[in-house]
Amino acid sequence: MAELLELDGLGVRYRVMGGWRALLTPKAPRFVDAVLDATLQVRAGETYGLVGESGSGKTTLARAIIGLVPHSAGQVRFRGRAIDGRVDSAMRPVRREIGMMFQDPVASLSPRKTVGSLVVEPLRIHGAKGKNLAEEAQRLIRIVGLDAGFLRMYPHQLSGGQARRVGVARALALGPALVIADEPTAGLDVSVQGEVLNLLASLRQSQNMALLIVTHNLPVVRHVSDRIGIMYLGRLVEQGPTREVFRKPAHPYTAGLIAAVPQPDPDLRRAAPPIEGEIPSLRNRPSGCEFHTRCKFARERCRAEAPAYRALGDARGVSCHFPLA
Amino acid sequence: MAQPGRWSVVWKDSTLRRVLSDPLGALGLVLVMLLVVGAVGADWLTPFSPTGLNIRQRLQPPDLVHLLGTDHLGRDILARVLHGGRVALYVSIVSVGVALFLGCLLGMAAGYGPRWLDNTMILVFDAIRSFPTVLFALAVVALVGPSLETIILIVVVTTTPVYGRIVRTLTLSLKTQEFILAERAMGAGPVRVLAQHVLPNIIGPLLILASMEIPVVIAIEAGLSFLGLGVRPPTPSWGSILNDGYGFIRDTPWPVIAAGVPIILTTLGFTFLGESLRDIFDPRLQREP
Amino acid sequence: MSAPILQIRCLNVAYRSRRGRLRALRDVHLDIPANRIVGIVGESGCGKSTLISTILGLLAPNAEVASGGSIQFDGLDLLKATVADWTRIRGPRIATVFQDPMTSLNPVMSIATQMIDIQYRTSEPAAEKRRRAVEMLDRVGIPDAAVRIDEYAHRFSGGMRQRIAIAMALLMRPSLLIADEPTTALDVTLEAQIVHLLKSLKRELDGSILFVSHNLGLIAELCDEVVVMYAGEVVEHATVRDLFHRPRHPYTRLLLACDPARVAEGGGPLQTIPGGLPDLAALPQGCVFRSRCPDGIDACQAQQPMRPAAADHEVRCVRAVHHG
Repeated sequence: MAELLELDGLGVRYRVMGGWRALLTPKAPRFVDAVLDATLQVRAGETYGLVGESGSGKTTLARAIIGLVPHSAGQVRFRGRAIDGRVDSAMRPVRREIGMMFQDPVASLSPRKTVGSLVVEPLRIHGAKGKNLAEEAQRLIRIVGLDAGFLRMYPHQLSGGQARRVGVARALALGPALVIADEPTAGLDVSVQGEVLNLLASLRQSQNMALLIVTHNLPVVRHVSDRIGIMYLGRLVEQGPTREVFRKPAHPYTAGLIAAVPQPDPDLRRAAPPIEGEIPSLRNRPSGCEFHTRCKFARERCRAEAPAYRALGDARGVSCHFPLA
Repeated sequence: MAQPGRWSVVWKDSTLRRVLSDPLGALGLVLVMLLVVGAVGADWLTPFSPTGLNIRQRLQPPDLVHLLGTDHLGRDILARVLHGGRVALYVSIVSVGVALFLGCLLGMAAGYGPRWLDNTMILVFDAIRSFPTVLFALAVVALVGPSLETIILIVVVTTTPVYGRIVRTLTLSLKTQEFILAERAMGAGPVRVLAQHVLPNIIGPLLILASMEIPVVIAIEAGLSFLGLGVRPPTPSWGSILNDGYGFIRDTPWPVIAAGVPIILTTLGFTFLGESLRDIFDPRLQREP
Repeated sequence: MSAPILQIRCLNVAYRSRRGRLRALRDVHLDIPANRIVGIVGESGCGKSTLISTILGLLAPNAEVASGGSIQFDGLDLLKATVADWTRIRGPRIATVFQDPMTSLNPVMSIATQMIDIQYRTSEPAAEKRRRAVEMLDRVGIPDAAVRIDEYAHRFSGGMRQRIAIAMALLMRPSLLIADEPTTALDVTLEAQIVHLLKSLKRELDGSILFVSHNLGLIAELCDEVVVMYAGEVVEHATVRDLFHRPRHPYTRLLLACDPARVAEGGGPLQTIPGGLPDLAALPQGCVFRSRCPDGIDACQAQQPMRPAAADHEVRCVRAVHHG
């Protein structure tokens, strides 16, 4: 099966110091790598969960795919063709096929437009091709389980869950092959998280859509994704089928992350936090394996040498000198 | 959940009601309305023409025929004041309108466009702003000759950079908002983003600013006309009435009062209205659920 | 068993708004025993924020507390506390840690200045106060505390700031620490550290913690007893094991079933609770959860009080008591 989306050594680098200051302080870091050497594939129709904490670069990576931030290294390929992201006209055909849902559902909706206008915005941008916009709006709003009365409302009148559904409707307007969802359950109560997730899952089925979910919420990603990738300080440290990775994590960070999720069962209390310390600053990356400062299993080699990303069979990969599995 | 479309809800939430429920806002609205009605209806509110001479009746105090008295050439002051209101409205609305339009265009380009464009615009804005307004006004008048259009030109040139800067700041802050990112992610070009998504969200604070600028422009026009650099006689303007009346103040104070009071009331009116609107639209003032 | 340090009785709080009277808290009775960690769990709109604000005397001006309610603390009814009373209580007797540590930290004063300032009620020399502050920072895991205490809040990461906020709260050894969603803004690895910190501090604290969260996992990890709130009412109150292993109220059961961490992995849609919260300005008759409850019976049409369902387990549900 062909890969729908491929990232090949993608890097995103930001300049953090202007020219003059850089001249005066030659040793201080001028650049920050928000994403470093990211390589992953998303196949048509599958759900890929991209997991990480703050500073992991997962949101930057998602935005780099859609062209909101420029790439500084590597390549993004969609349906085999490289997409640059810098050139808007080159991105146009790609943007028809990739829908994006943003983290803050209400803030990602233009405040002075009605829901009806918002869900057909992609059609307006890319040309409606003879479709009746009003009918399309009705169709889209129904698909996400809201009734037509919502079309007249403004974003500030919607609850978080409703705004998310509008975001889904909008992402689906052009029938995309891939939807990127940035923290689709953030801010939602547990009792309504399922609404958005179930909706995305059923749409995935009916539209044969691929889904890239970017989140820090492990229980959610465990439930909905086929494969997951774990990011730390901008790098992908482990990837693989969800079930396998959760059952037997290979990277110590993955293991720690899984263990850090508090279980809703008082009999499963932990004696100690699985990972101590703080996430290092992106400006001051640790040497060698960047996780060695917090890793329980770190040895001399980890401090000195950065591990290469190796396959572990069965579509798994890990970036660690001494993987656990 | 709110149900849009029902009149009672619409009225309760409407801006008009909220302005009226603020005493100063209501007062401001009334004063502004007075100005507009007076200016628009100038021809019908008084039987006299603003330029009709009647030397025998010069410098009369107010009486039942001439409600505000007459000036040194026997012209009815009330008529002149009402027509002067037209001049004030014309100058202020046109100049604020044009400055707002240009300021929006340039400010949005500066805020949304590439860094070098922004830097250039800022340079231009600040260069114009640093020029002393009064000197500039005098220079222009000396070059082009006094007239209403000259005043409009001066005001437009000196206030466009002010609006431009404000629009630029507003655009910059919107640029990083999620809904703008979402539009870009969907492939919207800069023109669409600016026209459909940035402009509607900045126009509110801008209009409020503009409404508070109007009295300033009226005062500028009055001032320049007072100095003889504005309207040409016999066109009435509050400033020129003041100027004429000033020369005859020992004979009768009425021309000065009749021209001064509208300036004060108009300034107060627009200021109160503008402040009331600003308080209403301030997102930081949390509304109760 | 010693007397509870906080006793809430018959608490009813409503907000005056343009839409009418929003009855945010209704008939709340709650005891916080000494030396216990009591968790309050609920989703948005359940009233937990209003409850905390009421306890701390920080309600908005448009809030009305119905007469007949009382919050007994340290021999005083907090609902009738004067400004002088609050000065005496907030800080040394009841301390709070909020979701955003910058609620507690002044950005323009050094940490040292703030932590010494908090101790103004004691008459020790400044050096002693500083020593105690450094010791506390050390205890909460701030590395190099003696040096870093002179820095400003913005120099610390989010996790560190929250630790500092906890240190400040515990500096005066309060008998009640209220923690309102203290880890919601933190990454999960930091969250685990903070929770572990609270557990170990509790052992030394000789006080109680009131831990408010929407995260069932954290509640299970930390608390001794749990209070479940829904739409302004307490609907269940039990020991932590009882609540998670033998939940009685239909809302509690559904809530647990919705949590993806409880669900076996993969496949099948996630459980949700369809419907929405009732309008607090126009509450329906009878049980407040009735509109969304799958197990309603006729008796649910009547207003439900809290009833004991088992030892140390109360529930606001007529079915739960009889059928278990």
